[in-house]
Amino acid sequence: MFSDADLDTWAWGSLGLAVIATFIWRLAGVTVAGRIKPDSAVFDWVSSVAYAMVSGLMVRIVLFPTGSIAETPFEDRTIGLIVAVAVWYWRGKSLFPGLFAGVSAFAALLLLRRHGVL
Amino acid sequence: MIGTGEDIGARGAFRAGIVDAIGIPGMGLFVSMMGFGAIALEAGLGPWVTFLSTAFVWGLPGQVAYAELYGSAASWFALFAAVTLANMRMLPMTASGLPLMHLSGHGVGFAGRCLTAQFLAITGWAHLAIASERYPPNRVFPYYIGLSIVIYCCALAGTMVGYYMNDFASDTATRIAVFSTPIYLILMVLGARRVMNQWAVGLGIVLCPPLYLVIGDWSVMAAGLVGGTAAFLLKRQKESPLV
Repeated sequence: MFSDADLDTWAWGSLGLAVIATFIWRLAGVTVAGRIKPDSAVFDWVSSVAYAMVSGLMVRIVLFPTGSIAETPFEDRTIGLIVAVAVWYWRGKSLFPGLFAGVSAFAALLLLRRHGVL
Repeated sequence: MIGTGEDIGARGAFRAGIVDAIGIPGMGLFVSMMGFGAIALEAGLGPWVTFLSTAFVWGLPGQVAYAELYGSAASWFALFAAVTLANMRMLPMTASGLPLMHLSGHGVGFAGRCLTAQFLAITGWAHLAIASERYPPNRVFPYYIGLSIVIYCCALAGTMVGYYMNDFASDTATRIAVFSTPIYLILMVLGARRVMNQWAVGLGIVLCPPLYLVIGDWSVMAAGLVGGTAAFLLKRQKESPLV
């Protein structure tokens, strides 16, 4: 029923940390719902740090990945990212056209390389 | 399309939530969670841990941070801090989303509110805002339940399909699935409504890659702190410039 990877204690411990790290915000949200001041300075700062961190992590995953996409060319990932952002912007900052275009561009480049066209 | 404010009853609202979720929200989450499943496999997480991370964390940026930092054997503090910050959006989403559901009118107590909040993430929150404009206040909660059930199932299914897709799909398909998740999240944060958060996203994108070459996985936190603080200070400077 459990794989070897499931038996890693640190995996379960870190999952517990991840669950707690997320639930504390939800709990705080429940507690302050209707009373929160979303324009307070501390709130602004934490929110800003969170946005910068998520964007930084995601770009790091695209440009310096681990795992199987590390074997794909850097330029293919970069082009996929640029196409996604360009189409997202062109289509009125609409998420799904940007996602579809970026992933399609990346997929097309991979397939062209696989078939020796590039 | 149902007219603004039309009362379709609790069952009708529940059904409308289900119908709305079957489409872009459900498919979008299915695909992005497929990417997470593939990332989790590559990070060395087991299938149960991966499945439960979607079930109980229920916040894609934090889940990706968790899997990535687990895979790179980061310290527990770095992992906890990264997930905490990555899913910090849950606070404003919960605080602003719960009042839209008028839970006291449905007799939902504190534990029920926590459970309701547990199922609230970006997709559900975005649809709550739409539903609150479309339906009477007492129909938003049943709508949310219908929507949440479907997107939750799609996300769990997507996670496991992504986790096991190596068994039935080519390496290329797996790589495409893995690539789709960070792209989805980058576009999502780029769409931040507030200018300060847009600056923070831009600074995070610019700072993290070069920092990664110098300080490795700590670059995520460093880019977050430096970029986020700089965006925050820029906003304050703009609001009250020094003479």
